[in-house]
Amino acid sequence: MNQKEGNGQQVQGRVEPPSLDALSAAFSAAVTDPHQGEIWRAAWGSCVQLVLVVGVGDADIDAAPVSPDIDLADDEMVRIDPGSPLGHPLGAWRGLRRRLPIRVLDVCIATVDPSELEAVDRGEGGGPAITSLLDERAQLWKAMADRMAELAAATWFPSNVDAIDFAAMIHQHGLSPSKLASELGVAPGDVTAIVRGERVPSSEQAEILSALLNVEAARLQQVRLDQDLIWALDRPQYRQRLAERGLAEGEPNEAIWRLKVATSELPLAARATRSANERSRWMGLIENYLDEC
Amino acid sequence: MGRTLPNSHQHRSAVSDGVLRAIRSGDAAAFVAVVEKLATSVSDRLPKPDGTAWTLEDVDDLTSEFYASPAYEHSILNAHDDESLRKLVYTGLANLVRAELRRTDRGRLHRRLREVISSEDYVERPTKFWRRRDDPPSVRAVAASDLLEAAWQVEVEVVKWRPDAKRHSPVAEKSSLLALLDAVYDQAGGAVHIDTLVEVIGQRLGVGPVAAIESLDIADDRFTADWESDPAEQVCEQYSELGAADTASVLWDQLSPRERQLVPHLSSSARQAATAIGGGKSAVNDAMNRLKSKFRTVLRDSGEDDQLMVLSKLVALSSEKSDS
Repeated sequence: MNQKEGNGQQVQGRVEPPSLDALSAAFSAAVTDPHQGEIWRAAWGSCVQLVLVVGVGDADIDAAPVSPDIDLADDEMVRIDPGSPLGHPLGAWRGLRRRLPIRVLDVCIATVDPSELEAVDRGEGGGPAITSLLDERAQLWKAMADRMAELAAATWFPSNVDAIDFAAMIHQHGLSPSKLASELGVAPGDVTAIVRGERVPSSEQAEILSALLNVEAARLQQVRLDQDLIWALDRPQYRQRLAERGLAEGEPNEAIWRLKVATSELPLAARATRSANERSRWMGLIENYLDEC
Repeated sequence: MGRTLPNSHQHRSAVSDGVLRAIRSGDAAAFVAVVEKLATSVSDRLPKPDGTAWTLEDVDDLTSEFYASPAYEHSILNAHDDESLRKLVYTGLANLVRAELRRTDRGRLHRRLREVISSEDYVERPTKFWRRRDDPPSVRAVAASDLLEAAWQVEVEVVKWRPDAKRHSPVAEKSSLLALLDAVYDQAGGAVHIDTLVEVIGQRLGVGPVAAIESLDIADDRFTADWESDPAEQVCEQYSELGAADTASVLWDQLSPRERQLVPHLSSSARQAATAIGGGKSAVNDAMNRLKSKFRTVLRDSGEDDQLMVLSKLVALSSEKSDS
């Protein structure tokens, strides 16, 4: 087999495995919000794709997938050379640019030179256009396109919420928070949180309320989440710690765990705090919550 | 002549959970173990590019090439768990072999193209630059990507592989090759280097570059065995079983002769075991409990399925040894 140039070290005719220090440093580094020109590992569930951040929005990014397959370039792929810890050049697939929610960002791997970012923006470089399905490059292109589509659709909260007006329904049935608290076996404050939509009733509580209010239990568990809470929970800086907390609590699915945190854990704490800046308030609450671990 | 490649079985060690986490924490040895095992799997499943049998040195070369390739870092970056890591590493290793096979194919294509253009109305001037006799004699700088784009506009018939022609490249019919050459020369408008012709027409005929870690549906009869179903999936399924076999083998070596006698009777009652191997029921019962406790300790970090797999391998070993 031919030996290629790369990040391995030539020792007496053999290439020894290169050190993992630079890669592991990237995985252990403190995560911040994304910036233009950074290469991130984007992941959601089992879908993983390295992406170049071309632009950053409030809750999403403009991203192009990158891969090491520069010899399989299409007419819009631009070669970039991000350097350590990536030991080889990459292709940025400009034709597959998409807006991705910021929640899919996992680890920042490297940064490219501003001139390279400009080249990606301009679409310089590239190989022959893919004009036939028989072209093997079409498979590579499709695989990345599918992953980008999956990442773009990544979410953890229901988009179409048919939440009920608890207060009106309680009034309509001649009930009161204290009566409901007694039926549910919780403090009146907890019922108030449910009525305000700050907390989702558990499955058991929803069954009891369903009988009392004559409404489907599933509807009682739907809640309109505070958009600032969603924004705050989606910050990459919290992702790893949130996932680890979920694992510790027996929930390996990030999406399910994040919804649980948003609907059950944080709203209670939120009742006790008020701030002029809702996002800062949520971020403070998330920090407090994670520090409890 | 290299060393003989031993049964791949002997190369593999027990599966470890959290391998990906360990690797991302900088544990290079954990990664080396994965790569070495899967390089052996690749040598079990794919032909060696030069057509000879794989040797240990060849497998070492393959792992070395993997470390020097982008597949090394990208398998770690793109994995989401241990199983996906193994699939990506397997695909990265297999794709290196495929790339090497294609380099050989392109060598054959080089010879075939020279045959075709030498027998047709083409002229070579300067050396290694060929053009159609009626084309302008100048050498024009045309990007290979433009030539390839032109080549994809042509329908070609690729001669099917014969099942017994395992190591011969796919060759387009002469008429198809000439049609491709015409398309390339129409675009080039002058003489083209033979290496560029090989690069462009090779890619058009499916013997171009291979992706680093992407598992593409490569239409190539040499890989039929490898592509009956997802090969990486198959290898990963075998991975646990092979790890269990290795663990069982290590355990077996550490058992006393009496303990080895007990292994096939661990699921029986003490009375049945005592009858089978001799000795008092009480003493056999104590020995069985000690052995079970020993296994529980050794296998405490393994899942229930893995524990059962190791025990079944131990029983199989016991049967093999008693037969021999």
